[in-house]
Amino acid sequence: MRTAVIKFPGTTCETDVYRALLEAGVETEVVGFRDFDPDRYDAVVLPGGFSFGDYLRAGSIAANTEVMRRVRKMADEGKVVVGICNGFQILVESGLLEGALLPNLNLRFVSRWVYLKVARRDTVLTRGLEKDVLRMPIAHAEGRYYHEDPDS
Amino acid sequence: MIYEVELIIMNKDGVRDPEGETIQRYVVEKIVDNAVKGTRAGKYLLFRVDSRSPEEAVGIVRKLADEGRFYNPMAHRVIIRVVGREDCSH
Repeated sequence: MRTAVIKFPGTTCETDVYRALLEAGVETEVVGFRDFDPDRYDAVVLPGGFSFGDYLRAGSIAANTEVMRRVRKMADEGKVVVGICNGFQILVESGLLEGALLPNLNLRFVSRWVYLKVARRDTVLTRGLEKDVLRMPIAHAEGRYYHEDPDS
Repeated sequence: MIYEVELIIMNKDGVRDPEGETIQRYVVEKIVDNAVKGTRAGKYLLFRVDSRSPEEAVGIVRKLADEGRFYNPMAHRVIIRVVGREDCSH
């Protein structure tokens, strides 16, 4: 699966993702946000960092770039789109995912390890997982997921 | 005419605002006892808009706010208002 890792100004974790994908045997390359051609890839990863300095809100400027219209097109075609950390914030800000990520209630940048429960095993990321609980790192200032209808 | 148009982005009522809560608790309530019942923080943008009327200037900023996703309609509300104007005729 040929995978693009997109780098915006302020993205900091593209090399981590690139190396992890290589270790997993995935053909991958880091692509600047102006140079991204969605037809060349089967999947795209938006890595973490501080795209465009987190101006306005984390991810909101990147969400307005042309590359996100191309990423949306990939999603519409059924290709794999993954957002990690700031990449996830970009997916939410672009409207590809519902909800909002609000500032943490303690007003601090939170960087620590957390435990995540596996709720679904029918996604491209969780299919084949054996564990029910995963230990994962988080690092964000705007990570308080909000949805006006949490049951939807 | 150039209109100065404010765009203020705030959390909707009911969505917690930790910055406003902190300002209220640690600053406002230290200075005045009971008069200020609440504080909300937001983000402020000021645009200089060339348009024929204040209504048109507000409409342009409304379009910007909506299409540029200056706010997330699920969590935020916006206030748009004209606060000044510059006559640019010669």
